[in-house]
Amino acid sequence: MSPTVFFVAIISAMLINNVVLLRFLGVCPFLGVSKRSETALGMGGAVTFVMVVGSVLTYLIYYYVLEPFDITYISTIAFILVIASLVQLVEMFIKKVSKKLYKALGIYLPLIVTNCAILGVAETNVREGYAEEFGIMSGLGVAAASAFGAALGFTLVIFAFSSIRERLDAAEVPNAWKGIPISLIVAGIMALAFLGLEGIV
Amino acid sequence: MVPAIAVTTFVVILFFATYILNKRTPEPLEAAEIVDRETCTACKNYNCRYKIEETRGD
Repeated sequence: MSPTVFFVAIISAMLINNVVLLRFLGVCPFLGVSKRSETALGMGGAVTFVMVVGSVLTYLIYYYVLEPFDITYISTIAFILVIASLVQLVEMFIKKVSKKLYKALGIYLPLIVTNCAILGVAETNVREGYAEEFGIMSGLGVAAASAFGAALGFTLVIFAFSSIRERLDAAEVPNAWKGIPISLIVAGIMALAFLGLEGIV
Repeated sequence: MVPAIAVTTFVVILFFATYILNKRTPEPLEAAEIVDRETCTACKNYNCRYKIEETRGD
């Protein structure tokens, strides 16, 4: 399989079908953890890890367990629980490795479980039919690339948004627009900007 | 039906096992102590929570 396929999968998931701005998935952490760039990057890192590993695991579970037994109807509950278990492992790891990041992520770390972007990407990867198009194992590579691209897109957007919000703190904003209202306007303008990238691949 | 129950049971057990392991992992006690308080005296940012504590005399 050509490496171009992986490249296209990454770019497509990152910029053209951005999970936050164009699919409106994962908006809760996007608004909640974007007050500081450092925290946003930490959240992006945690989401990247969970999204890629979660997508690979859920893909394998779908094609090697659920489909052979014809029980794909329980895919959502199986995916949620696998992702939740993965988040517990990530939380344990961050507790041990980075106290600063653990403190910074706070309540949002367990909330990765309810980050619908992760479940959305896992579900999309099995619904897109990569296995039918490229075969199960090659499809796994494309699914992982797609998940990685989606995670990069999430990190890019949350970091850019947090940088803008940091500058907005020092800007003169009308009282009625301070805080969340101006942030939502910025998010809307960012979504419009991302819409302009449609058609590059 | 049986495979569906078996898979669901497995993932539920997997979740509870990781949940219990996570709960048993102690939280970092001094996670908040990321500022060198010795340098706080030179800082004039009175919105900083360390400065507020210092002003209160905590």
